Amino acid sequence: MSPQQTAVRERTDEELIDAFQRGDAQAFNILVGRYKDQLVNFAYRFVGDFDAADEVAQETLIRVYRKKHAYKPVARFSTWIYTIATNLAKSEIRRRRRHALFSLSRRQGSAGESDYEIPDERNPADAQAARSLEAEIIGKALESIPIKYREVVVLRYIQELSYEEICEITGMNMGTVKSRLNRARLRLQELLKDIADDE
Amino acid sequence: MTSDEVRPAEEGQDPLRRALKRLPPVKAAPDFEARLQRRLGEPDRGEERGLAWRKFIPAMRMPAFGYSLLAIVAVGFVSYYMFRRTEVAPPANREPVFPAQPNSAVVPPHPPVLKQGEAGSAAQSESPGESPATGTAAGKYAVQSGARRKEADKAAQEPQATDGRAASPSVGENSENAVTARKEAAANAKDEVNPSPPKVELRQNPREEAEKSRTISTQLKKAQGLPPATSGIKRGDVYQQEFRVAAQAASIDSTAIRDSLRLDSLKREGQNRQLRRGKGKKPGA
Repeated sequence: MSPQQTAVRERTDEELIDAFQRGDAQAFNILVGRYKDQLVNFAYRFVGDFDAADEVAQETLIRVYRKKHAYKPVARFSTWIYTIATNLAKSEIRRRRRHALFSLSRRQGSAGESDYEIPDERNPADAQAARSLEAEIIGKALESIPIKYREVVVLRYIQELSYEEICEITGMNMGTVKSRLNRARLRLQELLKDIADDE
Repeated sequence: MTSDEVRPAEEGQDPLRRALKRLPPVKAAPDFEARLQRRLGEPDRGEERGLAWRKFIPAMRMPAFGYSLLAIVAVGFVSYYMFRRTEVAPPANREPVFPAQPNSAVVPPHPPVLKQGEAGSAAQSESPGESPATGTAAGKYAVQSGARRKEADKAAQEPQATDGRAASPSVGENSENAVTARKEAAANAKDEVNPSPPKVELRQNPREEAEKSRTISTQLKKAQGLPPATSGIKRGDVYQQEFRVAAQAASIDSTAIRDSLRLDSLKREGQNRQLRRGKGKKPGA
């Protein structure tokens, strides 16, 4: 790795998008590498389908590429890209509801394989199955709550964004975000009561 | 990514958050970037092909129905303009000038008209018993000539703008003068530039027939108003000839058809009048 490439990789997201706005295509590739997994994970937890999540993530990055000059450095780049991804995920959910689509296979990774590590080594097969089952239950619980609660839960508890960023992404004030987060938590607690008790 | 210092404490207290955090992270497919680069390349070319014209249009906000309104306004404007153009052309300009062909000869008026005029004069001479002073024969033919005078006036007035000739012949001229006037007008109009001679040619015969039928109808109308003393005229021949002309014109013009029907009715009326008056002469023999 050349010193130039190292310097490029250590740049912040805002510096990269600025370089990309000035014509540096390599800066965009770096941004893609940094955000593609986050976007796919976020979209998957939001939409509930891997193929749709992949499409949402691709479309988000395409919009970043085409509308690069729409970004202003008044906010963080992550806020901007998550705003695009959230809107696209909501549109995808509405579209799927209108057409009543359902996935034939619920994949968590490429070729149907899960990409997470197995922490429990005592009984790898049972632990993996338990984790898979728990993830599936939580995923179903997330899909059952309304979109307005789901987005704050995913942004806060899964993507681990701050309240300020969530306010900027969703366009809501702090009180609304916290209120919705609280209501979403109560609904999920009811649905995941059994899993929480096991903890 | 978080700037919240309370997060670790919340995580410890909230089992739900711990459960959500334990969810396995979903990663992108290995060919994610390749597919992305492919998609970035293709739509660009499509945009250049299809939306290049947008570069010349300044970015502006327009309501969703704005383009529809513009289209409706444009269609309305074009329709209005087209209708206005059709109304602008005066009907007189569309009427063909009779003698408009430089090469072909003017189609002479229908022989019955000539014959009528000549027959009228012959009939006038054949009826010595009738007093010209009473104006029976003259009255009838005066009516006819008056109608033909109108034709001559029309024919003469059309080229009048160019040669300035007097359009109204004297009283008593028969159809020959009208024909002559037409020929002269044709000769004068030969000097004019006629952009569409074939159209004039085609219209000439039907137009003449239509005018003949109108002439006949005018004559018949006036004949109805004649006093009974005019019965000495040989109406039989007149009616025969007029009927012939009307029958020929009827095939071309609906007005002529009506006139011929009117002619029949007048003929019958004349016969009835004669029968009522107790005269022996029956027309139409």
